[in-house]
Amino acid sequence: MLWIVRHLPLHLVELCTAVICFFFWIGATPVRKRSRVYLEHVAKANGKRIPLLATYKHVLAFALSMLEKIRGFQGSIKLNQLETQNDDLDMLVKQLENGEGAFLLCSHLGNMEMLRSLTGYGEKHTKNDFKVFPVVDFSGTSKFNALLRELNPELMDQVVDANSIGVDSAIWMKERIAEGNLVVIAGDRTSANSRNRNVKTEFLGETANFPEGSFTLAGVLNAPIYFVFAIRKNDFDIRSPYEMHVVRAKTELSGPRKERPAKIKLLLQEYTGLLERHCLRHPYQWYNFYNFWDKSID
Amino acid sequence: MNDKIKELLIKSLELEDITPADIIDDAPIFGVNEKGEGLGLDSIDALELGIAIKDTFGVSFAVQNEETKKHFASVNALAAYISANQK
Repeated sequence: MLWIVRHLPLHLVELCTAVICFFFWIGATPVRKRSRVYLEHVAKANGKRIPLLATYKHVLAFALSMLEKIRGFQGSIKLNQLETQNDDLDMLVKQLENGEGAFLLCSHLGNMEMLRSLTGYGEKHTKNDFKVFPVVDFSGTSKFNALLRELNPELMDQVVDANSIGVDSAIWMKERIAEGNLVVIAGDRTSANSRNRNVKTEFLGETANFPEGSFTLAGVLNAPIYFVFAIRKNDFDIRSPYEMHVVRAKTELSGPRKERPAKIKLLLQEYTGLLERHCLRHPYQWYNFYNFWDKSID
Repeated sequence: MNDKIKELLIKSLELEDITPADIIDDAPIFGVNEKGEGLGLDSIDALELGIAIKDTFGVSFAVQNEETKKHFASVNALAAYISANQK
């Protein structure tokens, strides 16, 4: 697979991906069903009908994001492909330059991992050097991760396993932030073993379950919180420029612990509000083949 | 040491209505035992307590495993661990 990505022309790789995806799409009925549930919510919220082959496009966009990651980890994607917005990015950069770290909440919309790869290739973004430590759920993607490790071992060593957060890793993360680094976690991470506590919130027009874990962690680490999104402008072209969005959270989690559950819910709603806005614009780039509106979950 | 830990527990986890005298030295910090003793705290509380211990006593914890859980079993266990690892 690596050889293919490295040596064949990109449009040929994209074509192969489209063909492989087609057969996967035919075979993977559960994925198709869950994708449809999500895309129907999007269509309804946009006041449109679900487009033809929408679930195939969703799967294809996901497969392209894998290619994107590989390209990112081997250093083929450059900083000038990023388009920044007039948002809170300046605030974050200023903070990093002052040697202050932050806690970033990202999502499965677009490709944060690809974005992270940019920090591994020497281009300096701020006066101060900082590192990005992602908290990732590795269950189910071990082979792909082994491949990324082969490409850039150093980048993979900076990863925290989301499934084993304990006292040790909490202290470790807090220390990294105190040193002026970034800790990043997805707020829409759902794992098959749903021992996660969920928070019910409106999402794409209906009550959905979002896992509380990442937001609770934000409360434990008690650092400045930012929401970040990196989205391909062109859904089906991985040479496309990326939009990068950075928004400082308005909800502050400090203060009495008693008030924290209510604040965590506010923070989560701030997050889902932004996520929803971006999902409506780029529905195919939300790589979350999971039913968030499952009524059987309490 | 036990009193210091109890004070830290109450302060960092904002346990209202509990005084150091209410905390039993060998009762579980997390959950309760068969006698119904214990503070009944959860895993998020554990993270915060761990951070508070690091900040107060300068004692860290190794990679999450069964050992770490043992250190958090009771005030007595925590006191033993902190005393053994403090520089």
